[in-house]
Amino acid sequence: MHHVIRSIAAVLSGVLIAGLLPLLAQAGPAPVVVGVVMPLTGNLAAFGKTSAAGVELAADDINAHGGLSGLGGAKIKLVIRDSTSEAAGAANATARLIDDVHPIAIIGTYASFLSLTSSSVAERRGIPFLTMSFTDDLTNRGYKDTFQVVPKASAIGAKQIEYVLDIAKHAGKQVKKIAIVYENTAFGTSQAAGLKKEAERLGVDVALYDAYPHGLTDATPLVQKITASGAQVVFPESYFTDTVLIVRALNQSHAKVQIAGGAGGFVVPAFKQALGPLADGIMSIDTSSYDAYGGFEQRYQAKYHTFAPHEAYENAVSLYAIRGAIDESRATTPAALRDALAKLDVKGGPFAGLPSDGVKFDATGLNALAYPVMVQWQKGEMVTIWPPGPGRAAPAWVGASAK
Amino acid sequence: MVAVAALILTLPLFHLTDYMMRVATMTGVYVIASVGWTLLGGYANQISIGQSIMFGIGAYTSTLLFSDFRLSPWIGIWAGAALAVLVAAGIGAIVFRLGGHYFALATLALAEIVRIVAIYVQPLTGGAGGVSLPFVRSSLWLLQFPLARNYYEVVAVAVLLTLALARGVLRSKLGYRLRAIRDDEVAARLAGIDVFWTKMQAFALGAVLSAIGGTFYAQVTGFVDPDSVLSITVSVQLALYAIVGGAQVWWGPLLGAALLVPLGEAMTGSGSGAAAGIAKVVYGLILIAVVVLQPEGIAGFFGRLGARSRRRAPAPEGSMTC
Amino acid sequence: MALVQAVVNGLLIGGIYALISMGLTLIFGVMEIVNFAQGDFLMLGMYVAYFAFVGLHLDPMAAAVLGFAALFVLGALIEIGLVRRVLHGPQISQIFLTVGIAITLQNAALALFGADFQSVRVPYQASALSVGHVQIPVPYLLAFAWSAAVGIALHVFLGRTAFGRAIRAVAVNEAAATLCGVNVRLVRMVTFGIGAGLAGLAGAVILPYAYVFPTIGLQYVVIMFTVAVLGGLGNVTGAMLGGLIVGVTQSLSTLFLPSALENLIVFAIFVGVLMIRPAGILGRANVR
Repeated sequence: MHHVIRSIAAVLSGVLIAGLLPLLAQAGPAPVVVGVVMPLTGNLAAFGKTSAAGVELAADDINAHGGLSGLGGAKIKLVIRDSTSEAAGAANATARLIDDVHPIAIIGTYASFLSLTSSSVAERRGIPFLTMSFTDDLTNRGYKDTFQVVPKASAIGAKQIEYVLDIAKHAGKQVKKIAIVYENTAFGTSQAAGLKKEAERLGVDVALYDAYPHGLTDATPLVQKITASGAQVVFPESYFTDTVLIVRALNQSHAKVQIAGGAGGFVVPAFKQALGPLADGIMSIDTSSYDAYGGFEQRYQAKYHTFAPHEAYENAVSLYAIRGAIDESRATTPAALRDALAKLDVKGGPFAGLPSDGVKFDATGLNALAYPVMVQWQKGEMVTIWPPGPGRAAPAWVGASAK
Repeated sequence: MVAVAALILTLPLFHLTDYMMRVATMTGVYVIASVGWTLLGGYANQISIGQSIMFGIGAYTSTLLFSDFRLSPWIGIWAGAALAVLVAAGIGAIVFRLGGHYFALATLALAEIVRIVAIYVQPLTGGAGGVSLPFVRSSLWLLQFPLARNYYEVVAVAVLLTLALARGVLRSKLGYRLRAIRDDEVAARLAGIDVFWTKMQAFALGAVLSAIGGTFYAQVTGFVDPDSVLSITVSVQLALYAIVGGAQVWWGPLLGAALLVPLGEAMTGSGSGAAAGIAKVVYGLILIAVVVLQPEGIAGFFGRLGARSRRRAPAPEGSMTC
Repeated sequence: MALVQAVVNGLLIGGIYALISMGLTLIFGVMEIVNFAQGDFLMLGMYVAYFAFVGLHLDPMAAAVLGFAALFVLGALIEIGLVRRVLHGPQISQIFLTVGIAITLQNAALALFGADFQSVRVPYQASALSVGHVQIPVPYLLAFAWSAAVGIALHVFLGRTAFGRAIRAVAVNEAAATLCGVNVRLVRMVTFGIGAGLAGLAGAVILPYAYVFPTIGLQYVVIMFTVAVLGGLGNVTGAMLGGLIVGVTQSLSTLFLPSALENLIVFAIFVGVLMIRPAGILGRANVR
């Protein structure tokens, strides 16, 4: 009996010591807590997981290289919470995170509709909220604490058509007729609207402008509409699931049409896995240049054995922006960090993967420098093709000419 | 009733965090909306899987009136309720003659139709992108507060009124008629009860409550989109709270929501995806356990509380030769 | 020409919808349970086919047999352990038992298989047969063939075999079936197993043109209900008709209407049929 009690006591004291050791070892300044709220369950779980992975990688990188120099080498401590894939869940998780750990800032929540509710909680509690969601609404509500590191959806849509016309011209083709199909979600509708407006301004005939319900069980009717429209280029604004059905059905219909997707499902590793050789030649707009992620890309590859999707990188950028603002201002409170973020102007280094190479927020909280790029799948690799520049691949036009 | 009221009203005295008050507020919101389901669904056993229609109408009406015309949600809440009654009348006229599973499936299909239309009429509803409720200033008249505690105080009062109504209905003539329909619809008709009108009264009253719940939901979350207020998930949730608590007693939705909403929150994990998944598996298993062990809801556990249950005659088991 | 192509597309996908829905309608016909977990059985069947492809290099069209077997076992276990206990309880507890099962399965899949989208690459994936100007996509055609085969097999099984007749007897009148020596418990267990197994098979068969992730069942479950109700809940032959109606309606409606409204027409028909013939187009809700 006695030795049972003794061994229990031994185990307990062992646990106690093990628990205390890190505290003793941590002789430096107190860590800075940054909250991460991402959809880890529900239908967006795949993207939430990669988003959180990106932020974790950035935190490891910062901590391994001396922490936050502005605060005497303080480490960053991430607290990651599940927003679920529902709007109310995102708001609840954000409120809970703020109560539990009093973060200096929050990074979230991947999907536009989740970020809208998360950011409104953060705004009311005065916590800076950094996001890579696309929707215009995030930074046109007059919020003081929301910062969008990527271009907004309407701007992305407009560049999508502009770049495609340029690329066609470069290939000696003229685009007269296009089709826009978009999923019936916040992301799809706002991006498609921006695209259509710009296309009409440029005098291109939008032969088909069609919304479809997100989560298709069959894409053949939609694809039939696309082929019937006689469009030379089709712009699907879709997440991964519908993207796969649409691309496969387009191939089955033997349509010779250039596909220029709207980021979303076109620029993720699963795209290549699902489509293989069918991916080749497909273009997509993207908010960061995957081939310029540099060290981040290598670390992601080493850890997860797949290339870093844009949401992983852009959420990491949010953390690097926080680092930059803290180092600049020595901010230790959310309010001070908010002011520092508003003044932030950083370039190069970890921001090289952004086409703009830097972050500078305007009065609304939007990264004023941000603009998108066009990428293309070439021989199983995703390469940046437009705007043209040093180190960028040449575009390959696969669509038909104007009839 | 007094004990319940005391508990609900004294909750803010316990110095809970803002997040906990937020969960308590959301619980209250779902109690109101779930009572709206139970008046017809529980008391009369007409299982609708379309209560999201009412919840969504409430949420959208007040939100759009506020964001487009700066009309106070206190006006919007009644506009939403009135609209919900109209829609309920229309739906009731179509589906009340269906029984059992067919009623459930018809309401499910109608809810999907409403969701598709709400997404489609983008100029009116904001489409799939939803509507963000602008935060103007902290004000009771605008029903906007920085802290969940203030919302809780408003919602708590509404919950008490709702529960009093639910209790009143149960003990009124309408309540007796609903239970008669629950026990045997044909017999109720033969006994001279106007079955259609009885169902309609309960459905319309329930529509008012669910719409009010929807308005509060929109005010607390500050954002409304078709997925969050018009999806099947919402309909299932509202019914589920009542069923787990006990669908034939006035306090059933309260008990069910007070257990499941915080439980669902506690089971919302952190860290990697796998851990988050496991937490929700536990939530699902608890649901299964309640339904299998207490088919009448937790209320069944407390014995027969005024409500009788209708059971199909069990089929004789074992085998015989022909 | 577009019309012909639309009808062909509609028939193909309709046949697949029928296959997806047969299990649901069989379970309802025999046990009067509306199974909300049926979409998740489909999801599990897709995962079975996915892992068979990755691990055994088995084509999903062949792995469909594994999908059936795996889900048959799971379905039978769920019947014994859970469904049996609420069968004579209130109708609401039956519906919400299956909701609980659905939530559990979705999140168990998330914990076990991860959140990633998975799909397989097979040679015929993006190919189509050209008949005149009409394209017939091969993966749909193969899935359709499975659907037809299963439909016929089920028809023969229910109509010509002793056990099939026992299933129908239980569907018509449980008490009488018992009196005639039918082992009702066994029939229910096997029926639920077959119902789940059919969803598993369907999941495997659609994998070549689709993809799988833990909550994909939600995308299909409403279609399942619609097809089953149109054909008459419990009427297995009716499911075939219901599937074709939904498929062709979706496909044709997009010729004239925005794609966003394709399901609006389907649901409108759904409600309309319920109003006029609550028991479905082919009538009486008994297994045939």
